[in-house]
Amino acid sequence: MKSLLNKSLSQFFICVVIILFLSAPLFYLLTKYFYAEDLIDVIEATQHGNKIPALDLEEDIVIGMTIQLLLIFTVLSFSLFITLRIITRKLWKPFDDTLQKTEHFNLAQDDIPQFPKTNIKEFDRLNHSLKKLMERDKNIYRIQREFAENASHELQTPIAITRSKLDLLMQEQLNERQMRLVSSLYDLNTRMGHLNRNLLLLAKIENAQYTKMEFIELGDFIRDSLPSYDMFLHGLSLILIDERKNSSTIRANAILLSCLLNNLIINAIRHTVSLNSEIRIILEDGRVSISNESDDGPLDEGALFLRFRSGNSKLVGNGLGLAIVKSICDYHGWKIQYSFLNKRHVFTVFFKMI
Amino acid sequence: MKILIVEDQRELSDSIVSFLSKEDYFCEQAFTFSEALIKVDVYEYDCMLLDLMLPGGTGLDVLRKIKERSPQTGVIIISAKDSVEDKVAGLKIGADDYLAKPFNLPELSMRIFALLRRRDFTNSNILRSGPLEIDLLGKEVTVGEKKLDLTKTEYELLLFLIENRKRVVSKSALAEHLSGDMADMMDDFNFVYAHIKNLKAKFANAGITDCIKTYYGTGYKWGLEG
Repeated sequence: MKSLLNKSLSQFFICVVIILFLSAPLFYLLTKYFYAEDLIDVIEATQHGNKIPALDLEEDIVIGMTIQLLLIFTVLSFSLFITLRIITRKLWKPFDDTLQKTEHFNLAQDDIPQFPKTNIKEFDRLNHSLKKLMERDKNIYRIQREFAENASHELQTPIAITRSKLDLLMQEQLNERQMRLVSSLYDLNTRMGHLNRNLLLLAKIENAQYTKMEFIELGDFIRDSLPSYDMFLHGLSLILIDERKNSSTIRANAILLSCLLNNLIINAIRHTVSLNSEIRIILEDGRVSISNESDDGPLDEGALFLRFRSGNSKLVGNGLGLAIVKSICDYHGWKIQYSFLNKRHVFTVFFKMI
Repeated sequence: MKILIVEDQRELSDSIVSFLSKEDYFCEQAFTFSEALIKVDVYEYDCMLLDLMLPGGTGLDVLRKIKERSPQTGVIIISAKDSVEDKVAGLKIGADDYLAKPFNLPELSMRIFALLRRRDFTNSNILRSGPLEIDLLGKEVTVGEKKLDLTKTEYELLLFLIENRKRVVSKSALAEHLSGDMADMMDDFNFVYAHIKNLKAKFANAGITDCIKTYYGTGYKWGLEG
């Protein structure tokens, strides 16, 4: 194994030698027709007993030297050119490969890439340390994900015990003050349970535990789910507008798909203040948008899909709904987009059609 | 009715026992895998509540054992491991229902009720309370001769209250029961008010008042006797 410098120097050297060797006939011709020309004339004249002809030694030397210099310069620059253009490109190819694989590496999804073997010391060191770094990150990431999942699991039990005791407490003869206290504890416990279950769901999506994929016709799927929202509507109307030209079948996990729709629709219902307004589900080729009317301006798109986004105190949700939506989209390779159009919040999911 | 509660969390198990004691259930407890196996081997039960993660083994093995020995025992799995695989595995072996922790005790009580009713063919499918008659198969509610026109949500609400008739049920327990799969997205339980109000109004129209007692706006109890 050689260092990069040594390797390029030695390759350059080999290149020069080869080209010099190839250009040897040129030097031969140069010597013969310029430096040795007068000498040959003199020898021939002496052999035949003639008079020595007129010599142009001076001129030959000048021209010969010029040609010689030019020749050497050409050889060297040609070698340099070849070394830089062709050999260097070959020499740096493993680096390019490594760079490309590193650029496309995704901590959440991919395995650690297999870097090509190289006999250059620096690149080998680079590959080695990159691999170590990725392995360590991957490991930390895995531990973190598992921790989130285990922590949520462990929390279920104390939440369950607390709730069961609150259920018992509620059966006692309580006065108003006590009853209100128990009730608000009960509400909080329920909320805690939801929060925990949502965290668990997120951890499970990230741990890729929803592997069962089905072919689902979106229109039918949404139409079937509509009645389940009735009880939350209270005067709002939920309408489905189908503007498709073709049917849209997607490949998805049914549980996650219904979770995604539930989150977006319940979100829309929850954030609609004025009565008698419409929640619209618009089904187009390759996408679904869910929108609700709003008196406020557009939401901050940057923070929208982050977990526990703070700021808007009017929101009652636990701040995980849209993070779950985003996570489900990422899991299936779909895109989610938010826009504010005609005083409506619009969430659009772009599906991958098959 | 004999019920076996297989749950390693003693406090949760005790709560369940004391909550169910208002019915004429006879509850027994098992806290470990081996205890559960012994009990299942020696006694017969009408219903078993089964946690899947037990010290010493998995609840699924207990399930296999009881299905082998007395297939008529109804089994409800109660588990913190809310994974689809476990659910499917449990139901495949022969569990009748699955309830993820944390659950509300009124919900559990209702599931047991439904399970025993389904299992016991001698029980009629008519549920009565006062002048009220509920046809559980047709999902119809009648007062005297008059049929009440209830929405699906109101029907569910009514059934939940009647089957927990001796108990105070919290607003959030009702909300959880009604919203089912969507419960985790709902952190506002006030939608229950509207449905309770509508239900009360429909009963008042049919001449029944005081059927739902409200405890300071936060808890509810079925008020009719019998």
